[in-house]
Amino acid sequence: MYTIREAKKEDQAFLILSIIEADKSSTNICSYCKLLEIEELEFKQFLHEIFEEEITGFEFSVEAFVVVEYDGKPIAASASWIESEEGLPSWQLRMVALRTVLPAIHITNLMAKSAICNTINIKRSEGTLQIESVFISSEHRGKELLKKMIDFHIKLRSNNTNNIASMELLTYNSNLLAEKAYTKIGFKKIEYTTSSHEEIKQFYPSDGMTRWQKII
Amino acid sequence: MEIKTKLQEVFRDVFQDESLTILPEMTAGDVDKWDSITHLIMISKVEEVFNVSFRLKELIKLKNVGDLIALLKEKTE
Repeated sequence: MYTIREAKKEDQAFLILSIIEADKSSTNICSYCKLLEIEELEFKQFLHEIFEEEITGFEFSVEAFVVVEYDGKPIAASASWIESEEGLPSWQLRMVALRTVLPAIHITNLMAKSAICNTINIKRSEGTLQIESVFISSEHRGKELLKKMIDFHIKLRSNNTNNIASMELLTYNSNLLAEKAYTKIGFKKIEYTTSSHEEIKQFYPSDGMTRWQKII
Repeated sequence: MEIKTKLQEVFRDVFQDESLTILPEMTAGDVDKWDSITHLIMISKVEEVFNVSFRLKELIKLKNVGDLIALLKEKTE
C-alpha cells in the first residue's frame, strides 16, 4: 500500500539519497561530487548541514520534498518549488548554500570548471513550478508513482496567491527512462543543450540537458 | 571610495565588462556573464575587496545589487 505525504525531518537521509541518485541518473557519475572533487559520503554530510538551514526555494530543503511510503518506509521522493518566488533563482540559492558549508578548496575546484559547466547548464523559468530530484526505488517503478507525486506537488504549491500556469523539470539527455516517463504524463521538450567539451562526460552523466514543460 | 563605485569596479572585473554600470534594481538576469560560477567569484571578490564575510542567511536575502550595497553599508560603517 502506497501513501504519499510531505517530507519530514526524519526523512532527511532519504531525501539526500534522492538528490544524489537523481543527479546520477542511473549512472555512477554524481556531477556535484565530480565538479567539487569531493567523495559522495562527505558531500552527503554537507547536504545535511544545508538542510539544517531550512532555506526554501530549491531542492536542498525538507520543505521542498514529498515522499511516497510503502509499508511505512520511504521508497520514492521528489522536490518542488516555484522558481524565484522569493526573489532569488534556485541556482543562486544552491551556489551560496554550497559556498557556505563546503571547505573553500571544493568551491575553487568548481570555479575552475566553469568552461565545462557553461556548455551544459540550462536556466529555469521564473514563476514556474519546478520539479527536481525525482527518485523512485527500482522495485517500485511502473506503479504511476511519478504522476502521483507530481499531482501532489501541484496541490501543495497552489494557493490563493499564486496561480501556477506551468511546470518544468530538467533531465540529462541520456536518461531514456526519465524521458519515457515524463512524455507519458504530458511533458514536452522545450530546450536542450549538447556540450562538445571533450571532458564533459567525466563530470556529468551525459553530454547535455533537456528542459521539459507541461502546461497545468 | 564610495561603496557603489568600489562595487562597480568588482562587477566590471568579474563580469568582464568595462562599461557595466551597476544599478540598485540590477539582478543576475540583467548581466550577460552573471551565472552560477561568476556569482561565486563575485561574492568572494566582494568579501576580499570590502574585507567582510557574508553569512548564508545574509546571502539568501540579496535580491538585487541594491540589497548588496545596503548590506555592505551595514557591515562596513
